[in-house]
Amino acid sequence: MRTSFIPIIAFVTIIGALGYIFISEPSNNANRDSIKSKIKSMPNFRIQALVETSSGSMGIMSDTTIRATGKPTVVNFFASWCQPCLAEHPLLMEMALNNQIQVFGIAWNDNSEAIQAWIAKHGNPFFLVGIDNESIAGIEWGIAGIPETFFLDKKGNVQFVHIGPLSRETMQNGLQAIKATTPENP
Amino acid sequence: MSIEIGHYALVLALCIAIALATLLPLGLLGKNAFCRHLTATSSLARPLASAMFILCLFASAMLIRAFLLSDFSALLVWQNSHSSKPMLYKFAAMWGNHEGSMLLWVLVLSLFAMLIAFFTKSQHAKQSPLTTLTLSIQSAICALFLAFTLFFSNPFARAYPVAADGMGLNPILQHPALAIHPPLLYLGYVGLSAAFSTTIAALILNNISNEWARATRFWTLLAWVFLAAGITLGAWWAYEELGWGGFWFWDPVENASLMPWLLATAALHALMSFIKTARIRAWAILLVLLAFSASMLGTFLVRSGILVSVHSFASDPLRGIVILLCVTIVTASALALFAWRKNTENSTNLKPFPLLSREGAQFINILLLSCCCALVMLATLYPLFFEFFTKRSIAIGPPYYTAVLTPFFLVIVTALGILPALGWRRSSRKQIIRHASIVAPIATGSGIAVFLVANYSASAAIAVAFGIWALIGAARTKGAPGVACAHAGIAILLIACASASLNDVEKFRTMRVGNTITLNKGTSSTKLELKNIFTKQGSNYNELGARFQLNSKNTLTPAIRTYIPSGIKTTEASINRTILRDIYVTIATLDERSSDSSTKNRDTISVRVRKKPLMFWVWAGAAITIFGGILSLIPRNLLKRRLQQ
Repeated sequence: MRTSFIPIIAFVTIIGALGYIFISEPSNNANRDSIKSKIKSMPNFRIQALVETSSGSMGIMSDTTIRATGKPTVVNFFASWCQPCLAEHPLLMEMALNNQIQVFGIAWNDNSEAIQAWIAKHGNPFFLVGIDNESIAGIEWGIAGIPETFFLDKKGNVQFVHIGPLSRETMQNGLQAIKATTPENP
Repeated sequence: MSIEIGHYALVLALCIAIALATLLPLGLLGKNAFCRHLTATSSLARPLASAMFILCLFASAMLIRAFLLSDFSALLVWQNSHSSKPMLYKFAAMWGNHEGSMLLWVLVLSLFAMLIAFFTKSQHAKQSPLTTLTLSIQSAICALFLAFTLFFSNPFARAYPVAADGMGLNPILQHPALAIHPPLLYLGYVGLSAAFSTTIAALILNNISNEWARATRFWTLLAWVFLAAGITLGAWWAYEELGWGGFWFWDPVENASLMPWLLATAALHALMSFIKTARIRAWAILLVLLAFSASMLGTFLVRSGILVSVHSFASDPLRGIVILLCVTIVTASALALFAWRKNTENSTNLKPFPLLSREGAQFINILLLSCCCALVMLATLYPLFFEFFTKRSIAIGPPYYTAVLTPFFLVIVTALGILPALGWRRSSRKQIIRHASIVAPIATGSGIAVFLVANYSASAAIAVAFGIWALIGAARTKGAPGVACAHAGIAILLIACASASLNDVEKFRTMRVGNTITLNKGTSSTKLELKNIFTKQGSNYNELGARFQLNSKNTLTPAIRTYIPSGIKTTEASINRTILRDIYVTIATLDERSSDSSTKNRDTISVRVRKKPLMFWVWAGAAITIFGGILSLIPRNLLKRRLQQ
C-alpha cells in the first residue's frame, strides 16, 4: 500500500535538492555583462581613414592605425544611416571641445561620400574617422551593433563601454571611468 | 508591427487554453443540455483547440518572419541572428535559443491538444469523458507553459536602440541536422504530454480501461518515434559536424533526451502487457507519468543552464526557478494523484504471473529499463551535488555508463531474443529450450568468429554474440512486424555500436604534405596520403582544409572553419563510408593563429584518423528501430488489409 507513495517522495526530494542548489548557486548571472568586456585594450590593426586637412576639407588616408595617443581616448562606432547615432552626436561634439581627450570615430558599413556629407551637415567631433566597410574593426572591437562607444584610459585600456546612444549620464560615467573631466566642470 | 501581432496571438492562445482547461470539466459535471453541448468534442473543443494551435503557429510564424527579414528591432533576433547568415539557419535560429525554443515547446503542446481533440476515437458515444478530460488537462499544461513563455521568456521583446546587425549564432549550431533536430526532439518530449494527459484523465475518472491503454499507447508510441529520430539526429550531428569522432558522449543534454526515451520504451511494454493480460497496471500508469516528467525535467536541466555542458545556452536564475516550479506543479500533482488512487483502490488478489511468459519477460524489461534510467539520472545529477557539497568538480564519463549499463542491457537483449518462444500468460519450457538450442550456438559461433577472424576484443565479441542472439530472435517474431522490426534494429544497433566504439583504430600525428599515415588492425590496413593544404572562403566563414588521398577513387577533405561574425572555430570532419567501415579524418592546428588567411604557405598540419567498423549500421540500426515504431503505429487490421491486396 505505502509503496505507491515512493515515486512522489523521491521526486519531491530530488526537485527540492535541485531547487536548493539552484537558488544558492551565485555564479549563474556572472556572465550577463560579458559582451561588454570582450576586449581589454585597444586592438592594433590598420584601417582606411578620413581626416580633416588644414584647409578644412576631408582627405582619405590609407593604412592608418587608431592607437592611444597618451591621452584618454573615446572611440565611437557610428554610421551616417544610423538614427540613434545622430541623437548622440551633440554629446560627441561636446566631448570634442575638451582638449584632454581624443575622440575617434569608426564609420561602420558606410561609404566615404555619405560620411563626408553627414559630417559636413552635423559637425565633426572626430580627430579621425576610420572607414570600416568590411567590419574588420567591428570584429576586432567586438561591437554588438551601432552606436557603441568605448572609453579608454591613457594607457589604452578599455574602462567603460556603452552599447546604444549615449546619454549625458552614461557619457559622464564613461569620462569618469577614464579620469577625464567633462567640459562643464574643468 | 508583426512582432506585436505575434505577441498578441500568443496572449489569445493563453486565454483559449485557460477557457478549455476550465470549461470542459464544468461541462462534464453538469447534466443539462448546455453542459452536454459544452463537452461535445465537435461543438466546442475542436474549434477552440484548433484556434489555440493556429494562434501559436501564427505567433511562431511571426517570429520566424522577423528572423528571415533580419528585423533586429526584435531583441531575440538581434541576439541570435546575423544578416550574413544563410537563409536556412536564419529560419532555424528561431529555436536555437531559450525564448524561441519555449515558443516551439508551446506550439507542439498545442498541436497535440488539437490532435487529441480530433483523433482520439471513442468507441461508444460521441463525447467520451476520457477524451474531454484529456483535452482539458492538456490545455491546462498548455496554459502553464504559455504563461511561462509570456511572462518569463517573452520571445517578442523589442530592442531599443535598433542595432545595425545581429550578434550571430553559434556556428556549431549551423548544420542542417540541427535545423530539424530540436523540432523532432520537441515533438517527442511534448508528445509524451498527450499520454500524460490521458493517464491523468483516466486516474481522475478512476477508469483505467482498455480505452485508456490504447489511447496512451498510441501517444507514447508516436512520441517514442519522434524522440528516437531526434536522438539519432543529435548523435549524427555530433559525429558528422562536431568532429568529436564519436556519436554518443553521455553529455547531460544527451542524457536528458535519453531518459524520457528509456521510460517511454518501458511504458510501451507495460501498456502492451496491460492491453493483452490486464497485468503490470500500476507500472504502466507510473511510467507514462514519469516519462513526461523526465522530459520536463530534461527541459529544466537544459534550459536553466544548471548543467554546464556543450549545449547550455541559457543562464537566468529566475527563469530556472520558474521552470522548476512548473515542472514541480505538474509532476507532483500527477504523482500525488497516482499515490492516492493506488492507495484507495481495492487490490484484487491476482495470481502472480509466470516469469517465463511474455508478460514475465516484459516485466523484467520494464524493471531493467527503469533501472537504466535511474542510473543515467544519478550520473547526470551526481556531479552537480558533488560540486555543491565539496566545491570540487568531477565529470562522469563513458567508463561509468559502460560498466554500469552493460549488464542491464545484456539481460534486456537476452529477454528480447527469447521472445518468439514465449506466449502471453503461458509458456512451454520445451519451446524455449528448442529456440535456445538453435539460436545460442549460432550466436556463440558468430561471437567466436569475429573474435578470431576480425580481431575483435573479447568484450566486443560478446556484444556481437548477444546481438546475433537478439537479431535471430527478432527475425523469428511472428504476427507483429513493427515489434520484430524495432527489435531487429536494436540488435543491429548493439552489434554496430560494439564494433564502432570497442574496435576502432585511431592515430594522431603531425603530417607534412606528401606524408602517408597507415592504420593497421589485424590483417587489414588503410593508407592515407596528405596531398595538399588549402584555404577557402565560404559565405560566412574562412576555411583551412587538407586533402588526403585514400585510394585511386576517394579523397578526403577535412577542414577547420572560422566563422566571421564571432571568430568561433569549428572542426569539419571528412568521412569515407562503406557498409563495412568509416574512415574519419579531422585536422587540428597546433598554433592559435594558423587558420588565418595569412598562412597560405603552411605545409604541416595535425591529423587525427579513425577507422570505425560497421559505423554505417549504427545509423541503419537506428533507422530500422524507428521504422519499427512507425509500423506499429499503423493499426493492425489496416496493415493486414494492405498486405493481402
